[in-house]
Amino acid sequence: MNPFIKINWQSIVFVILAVGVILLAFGGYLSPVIRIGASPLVAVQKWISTRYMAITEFFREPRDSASLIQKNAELEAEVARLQTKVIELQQRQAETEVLRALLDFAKALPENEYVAATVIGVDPSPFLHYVLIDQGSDDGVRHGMPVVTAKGLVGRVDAVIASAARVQLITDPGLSVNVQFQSNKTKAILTGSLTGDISLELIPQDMALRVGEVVLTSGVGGKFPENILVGQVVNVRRKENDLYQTATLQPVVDFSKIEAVLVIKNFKPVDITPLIPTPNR
Amino acid sequence: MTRVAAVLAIILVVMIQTIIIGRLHLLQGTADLMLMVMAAFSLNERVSRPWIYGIIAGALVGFISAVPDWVPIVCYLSVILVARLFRRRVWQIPVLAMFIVTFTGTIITNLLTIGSRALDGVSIPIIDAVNLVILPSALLNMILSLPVYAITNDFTAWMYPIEVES
Repeated sequence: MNPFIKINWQSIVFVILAVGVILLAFGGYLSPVIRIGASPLVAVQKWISTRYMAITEFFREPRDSASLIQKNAELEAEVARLQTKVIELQQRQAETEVLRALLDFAKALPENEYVAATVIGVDPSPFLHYVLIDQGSDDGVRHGMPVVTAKGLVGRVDAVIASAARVQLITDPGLSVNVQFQSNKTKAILTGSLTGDISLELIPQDMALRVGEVVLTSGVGGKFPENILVGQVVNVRRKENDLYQTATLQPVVDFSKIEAVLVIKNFKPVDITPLIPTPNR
Repeated sequence: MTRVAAVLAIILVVMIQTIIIGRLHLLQGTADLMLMVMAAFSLNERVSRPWIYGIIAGALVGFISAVPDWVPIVCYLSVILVARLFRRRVWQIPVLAMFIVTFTGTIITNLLTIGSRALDGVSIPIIDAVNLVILPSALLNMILSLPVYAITNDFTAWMYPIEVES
């Protein structure tokens, strides 16, 4: 017999057997056999797959770290941007609260006309207690107009240009304000000092002055309107031999943190200079 | 162009003084940025006629401040004069000259301001003024004088570049 034909017969038998096994398997007749035979194969497959994934992850990890680092940087930038936004919003909220307080104050005293102004600077000299505001003669601000905040008296306008003005604070040693005590309307003079402390002078000896007494403007002299809150007495100095007693005042306005003020527009300060006696020439 | 840049720098210094430096207190004293800039400016050999800038700076500060207009002008011209005097004598150590001029200028400026306030009828106790204003101001000025000197020198080098001879 031709060996080629022999080989063909073997192949044909092998193919028929293989097809038969496959058909039996598709028909479900070999399931128990497949289950028994496949289990170790699946276990081996799983083992190899796990190791392969571990090796793959090992090689992919640096790329993931780089992406994580990039992502982290992006998130940090986002956090920084949001923090900036939060600070900006907090600042705006603080400004809004200040303006709301000023508005409430203006509503409480409707007889006065106000110009709201922002403090934009302080006097360069440490011997002078002045601030610069961003409203000037174009906005109706004039020399001598009283300046207040929602809490109380700040000072008066000392100099004006078109778009800005300079305000002399009541803490300046060059400014005197006529004041009165709320309880009994006794008059006194308020003066500033180099240190920014405010003292009350020319208080009559017979007045029973107590700590905590509220001090208001008296309107005497015509520089300031009447009944603007100035502060509270914190210390009283009374000597038997002195003509007057003196006191230290705690102002209601914190002059170190002053941000916005109101200029009272409709108050016309009285110029009493011609009435002040001058030496005869 | 150089003078315009210098005037713009002076305006910027006044703004920084009124917005930031003027609010930073040591006791009651504050630093005087313009004084230090004028001192550093005058100590620089490249700057010719610094008194022009002294008058401009003094006029600007006098316009903004409530002190009489002549006070800052006289103060800064005095600082420039002292700086020019010291530049010739201790020129080997310009930083030392800067310290001396800053201290001397602070004393002159504050005493002149006290004098001007006294002329206006505002009496300021001299002991309090020395303890609470003049000495703290001098200390602040001395601390700030080094960075101000360095920055002003850089600015001056930019304004007055050295001409290289070929």
